[in-house]
Parts: sequence; C-alpha cells; structure tokens
Amino acid sequence: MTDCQEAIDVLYEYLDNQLTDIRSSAIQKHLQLCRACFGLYEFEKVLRERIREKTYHQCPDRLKKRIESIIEEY
Amino acid sequence: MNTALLEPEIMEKTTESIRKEFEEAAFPHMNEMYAAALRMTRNPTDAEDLSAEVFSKAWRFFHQFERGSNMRAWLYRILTNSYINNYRKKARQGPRVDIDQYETAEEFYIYNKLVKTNAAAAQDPAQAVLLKFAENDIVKAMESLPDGFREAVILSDLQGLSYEEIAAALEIPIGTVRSRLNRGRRQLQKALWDEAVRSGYISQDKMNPMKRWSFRLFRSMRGKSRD
Repeated sequence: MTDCQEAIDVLYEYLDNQLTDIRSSAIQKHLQLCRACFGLYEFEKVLRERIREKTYHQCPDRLKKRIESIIEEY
Repeated sequence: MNTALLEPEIMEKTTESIRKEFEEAAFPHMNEMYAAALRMTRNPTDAEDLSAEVFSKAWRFFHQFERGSNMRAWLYRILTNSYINNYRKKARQGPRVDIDQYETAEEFYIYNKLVKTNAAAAQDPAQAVLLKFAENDIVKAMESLPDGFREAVILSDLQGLSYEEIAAALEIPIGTVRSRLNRGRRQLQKALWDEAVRSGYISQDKMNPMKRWSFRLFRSMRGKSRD
C-alpha cells in the first residue's frame, strides 16, 4: 500500500509522467482513496495548467510565412 | 556522388523532395517552438527571430539529422542553444535574485500557505486563487528564477518535455534536471505567492470565518487517509 508520504514524495514525478507504469498506477490508486493527497495533486495540476494556458501564444501567420520563405529560398 | 553530373531537372527534384521531407517533419512543431521561444525570450520580436533562426538552422543542417530520430527533440536542442548563446542575457530584465533567498521555500508552497492561512474566501481556496493569476504575474514570477532553473521549468512545466528530453536539450545530466526543477518550482511558487499577495488576490484577514474551516482541511491533509 502506498502511504501519503510516499505519494507526496513522487507527486511531481507523477505529474511529469516520469514514473514506471506500476508505480504510477499505485499512486493513482492512492489518490483515488486519499482526499488530502488528491487535493494537493489537483491543486498542483490546476496551477500548472493555469501557468501554461496563460503564457501560451500561437505562432503568428507572418512568422509561418517567414519560415516558409527561408526554407524555399535556401 | 558528384552532384554536378546530375541533370538539372533531377537535381531540382531531389532538392524538392528533401525540402518536402523537412517541411513535413519540422513544420508541425512551429506553434510549439514559437511558444517556447516566447516563454524564454519574453519578447514577441525576439521570439519570432529566434524561431526563424531555429528553422533556418534545422534546414541548413538537415543532412546531419538522423532520419527516424526525434525531430521535436532536435528542434528543442537548436532552440535552447540559440537562446542561451544569443538571447539569455537580453531576456533577463529584472534584477538578479539571490538563489539562497528561496532555498528554504518549502515544497507545495502556495497550497500549504492557502491551507494554513485563511487565505481565500471561497468554497475551494485552491481554485479561487489560481484563477486570479494573470499572465503578467506569472511572467514576473518566472523572471525571478535564475536562468538555468527558469529554462528547466519552462521546458518541463510549460512545454511538457520529459526529464530525458530536457537533459538532451540543455546538455546537462538528468540529476541536474531534477534538482533544477525541484528548486525552480519551489522558487516559482514562492514568487507567485508574493505576487498574489502584492496584487491583493489573497486576503490575510485573521478574522476571516474561513479560518476554522481551513485549519480543519489542513489537519485532514496531514492525516494518513480520508478524514
């Protein structure tokens, strides 16, 4: 059984998809059972999504054209 | 092979097919590369120049690219190299922050702060505070990270690279990636918290009726399983 300390220790690795499948599903199981750990997990996940989404900007069309013409010319 | 011996039309066809191969492999990553370039340089003009440089270099050195290997990882490597050599100095605008100042910041800083104080007057304090963060707060907080930490955090948390991919892009060992992420994330959270307090997203009112509820949540968090 995975306990809270164990889950918290590898929480970022879990979020980063860096655990083996076995380890990852053990953590997942713990998060389904433990409200406290799930709260922390979800917070970290939402925080990351927020940061990602707020700083994301799509490649402008003029840059796409610029890159295309660099490749065409050379 | 001596290409001069080829008929001009055949030469043309070969170049065309290589060009097509490159475009098919590299162009799908344009949005991602631009996003990374902008997050690193923090300036749209520089981000466009850096992105153009990445694709231009990738095309020029396409003959060195091992067919079948990871185009995305290769582009990242060119991007981080060009960024560090040509833009890193310029991208740093604020004063250099003392790393040691943040070294003691605990892990999961914001969450722990929220749970320990009566911070947010909402049913779910976590979500409520997070939704208030604007781009400028995040950019400022990111800016407070030392270069190497900031780059690792951008590649991981924002661009979604694996530790191995970050190690390859920044040409550092995986252990260094882990420690930079560990310290970088702590510092980022501490800086975000400071921004949130400064921007007034967090009320520090001690008489807030949410206090008792927060304490209960905190206690339950420390428990071994469900409350």
